Amino acid sequence: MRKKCLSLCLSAAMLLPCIAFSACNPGGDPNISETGEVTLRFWNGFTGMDGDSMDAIVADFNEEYAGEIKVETDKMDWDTLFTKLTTTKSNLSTAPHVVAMSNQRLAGIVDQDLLMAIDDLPEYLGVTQSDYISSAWNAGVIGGTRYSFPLDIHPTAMFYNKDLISEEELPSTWEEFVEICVEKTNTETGVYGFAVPSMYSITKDIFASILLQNGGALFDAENNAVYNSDQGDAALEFLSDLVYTYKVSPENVGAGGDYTLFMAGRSVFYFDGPWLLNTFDLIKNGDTSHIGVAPMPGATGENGISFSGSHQLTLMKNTVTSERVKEACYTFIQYIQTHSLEWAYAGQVPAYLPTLESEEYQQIEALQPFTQTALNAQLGQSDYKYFYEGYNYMGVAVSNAISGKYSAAEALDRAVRSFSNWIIDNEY
Amino acid sequence: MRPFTKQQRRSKAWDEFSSFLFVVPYLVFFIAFALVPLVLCLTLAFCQWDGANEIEWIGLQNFKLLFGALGTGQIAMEFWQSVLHTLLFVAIETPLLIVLPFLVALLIHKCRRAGKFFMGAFYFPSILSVATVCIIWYFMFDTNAGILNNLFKSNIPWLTQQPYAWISLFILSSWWGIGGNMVLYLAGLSNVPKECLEAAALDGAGPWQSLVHITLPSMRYTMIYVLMMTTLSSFNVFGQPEILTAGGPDSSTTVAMMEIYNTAFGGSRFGRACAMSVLLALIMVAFTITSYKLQTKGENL
Repeated sequence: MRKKCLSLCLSAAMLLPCIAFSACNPGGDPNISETGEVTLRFWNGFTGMDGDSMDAIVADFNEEYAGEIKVETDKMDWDTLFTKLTTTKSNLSTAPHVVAMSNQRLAGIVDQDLLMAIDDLPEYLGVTQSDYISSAWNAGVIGGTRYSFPLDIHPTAMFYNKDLISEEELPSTWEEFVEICVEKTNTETGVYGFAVPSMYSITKDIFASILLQNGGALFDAENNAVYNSDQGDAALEFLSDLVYTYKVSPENVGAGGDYTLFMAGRSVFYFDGPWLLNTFDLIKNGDTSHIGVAPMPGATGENGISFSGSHQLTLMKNTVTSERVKEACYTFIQYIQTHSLEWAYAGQVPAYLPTLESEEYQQIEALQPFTQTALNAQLGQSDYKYFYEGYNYMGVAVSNAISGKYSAAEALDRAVRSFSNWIIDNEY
Repeated sequence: MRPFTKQQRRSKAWDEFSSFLFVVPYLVFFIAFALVPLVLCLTLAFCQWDGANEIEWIGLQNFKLLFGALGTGQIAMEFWQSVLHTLLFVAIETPLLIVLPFLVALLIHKCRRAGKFFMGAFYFPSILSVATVCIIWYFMFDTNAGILNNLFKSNIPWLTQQPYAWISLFILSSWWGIGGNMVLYLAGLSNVPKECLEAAALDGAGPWQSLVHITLPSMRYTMIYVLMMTTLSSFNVFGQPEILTAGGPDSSTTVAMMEIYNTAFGGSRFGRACAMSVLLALIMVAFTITSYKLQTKGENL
């Protein structure tokens, strides 16, 4: 009898997880009731210090709209976000309503039919194109339909070590850049002008900027990759010359190797996005820091161009199914837009011009080089669904030329050929 | 023999039922997380699916593409190149992870006093996650500001040129993997019959002879287990090249798992990624069976 009782208890204990497991799956569409609070799920990949600022904006919003709208944020790294996003159709109970994403990924997600058309959003917000940095504004329109709304632009700028270079010496063209790098490079003390990373990372953004400044393009009007043009060859040769001809960079700088050398005081310049402003504590204590920031050469002025990315806000088609939810999303986006100064403190350049023109914003000195660059930003073909892949093939070419494996022209030709073949294959 | 009474029959049926209940939790998880994904993967290999929209049956198209019978052969080339990289990793890393931990285990087994310390020291890396291990070694390998080049006053491009990128991955993976296998070997070593060793010593066998003729044969099954597990885990290499070299330079350390992952999650081609997984799985099965056959040759198991 005792044995029987024991086996019964054990069986029950063993079954418990199964019952619990089945109870965990609520299933079904989480229809938001017609009255009461609307809960919105907001996914983003702001996992760094910028995420804290976004959380603060969301917390303020929740406080102001308590009882009406509640926003729940889910932060994950960008790769995870896009992975999870593609499978949200089958699990609406956890799927997001609002998602922040890079303009470079937009067309691919539109192609999967996940995003909602939001043509009426500008009217709802009472804004027009003239209120926004135009490149960021236009990035959200694909095939004549608006799918995303601009949040910010994040261009690449030039950080420099104040102990190694004075403000007056800062270059504004690439010619001046080479000159000053040659002057500052000292093999005895191990100080270089600029360590060019041969692994992907920021080098491909710099390459794209120089290519655009040379008058070239990444893709033509029919979305064919054309970064192997003469302008492209010249841009990549220039970058590899920094390593092999001018020798202002050590060879074999790996991904992150440029940052390590810059932090060790062994390179004058370092290129990166505005998110590093807070890492270097430049927004609050820029004056006392030994690190300064300036626009990338050739990016400012009348003919200045820089290749940049932009964060955009999107609404998901499968979860934003009623007018009520849609309005809640629009209210949330409006709130982010009017509070984008907070986002600037996170180290981002808001795309909303009234914010950029405000006095408080202009007092954030460290952001001004990025702002000047952002106004001249080109974002690449945001409406091309293979842009991201094409850009990555280009990254391999840049890496191969900098590491000395192929000449600039050969590396770029190979990349264009591989990418064109890959598209044909991928359509099967 | 007396037939079972009604009560006895009921109790027997209950016993059978209750023993079944004990395996239910395992079965549930096995079905949910192993069997269903396996069947799904096999099915999806013949389909096209972007993860969001309808699944479309396309027959052998994915496989034709992967064998270069369709299209330009670009995707086929990228895939088989990544498989070759995986095979290279398996061919070099597996022997390293079989021999090195054995030598370490042997030394630890011999020197009892310091053994505990070294056991802890060698086992320590295995409790770290792949990301942690890669970050540690990243600071060691960096060409211009890394610890290794500073220490040896060298200028080796550890992560940016071949063959150094592979060598870096082997060093890292061995450092990370020694501990796990070492523990298995230590367990095996403590099971080697002492009387045989003593008898051999009495007969005048030296340490080398004892090792070859007694220790090694006694540890045959531990060896087979370690070989199988190490081979399979080497085939699944992903984190190390993904984090440390990002598949570079020039995609030369892009392994099959990375190609599969990127196809599925970067490119949203889940069907093709499943077809790739099936092909890789077939290679793994062939490898495992061959190595098992070779190991157990001439035995009746």
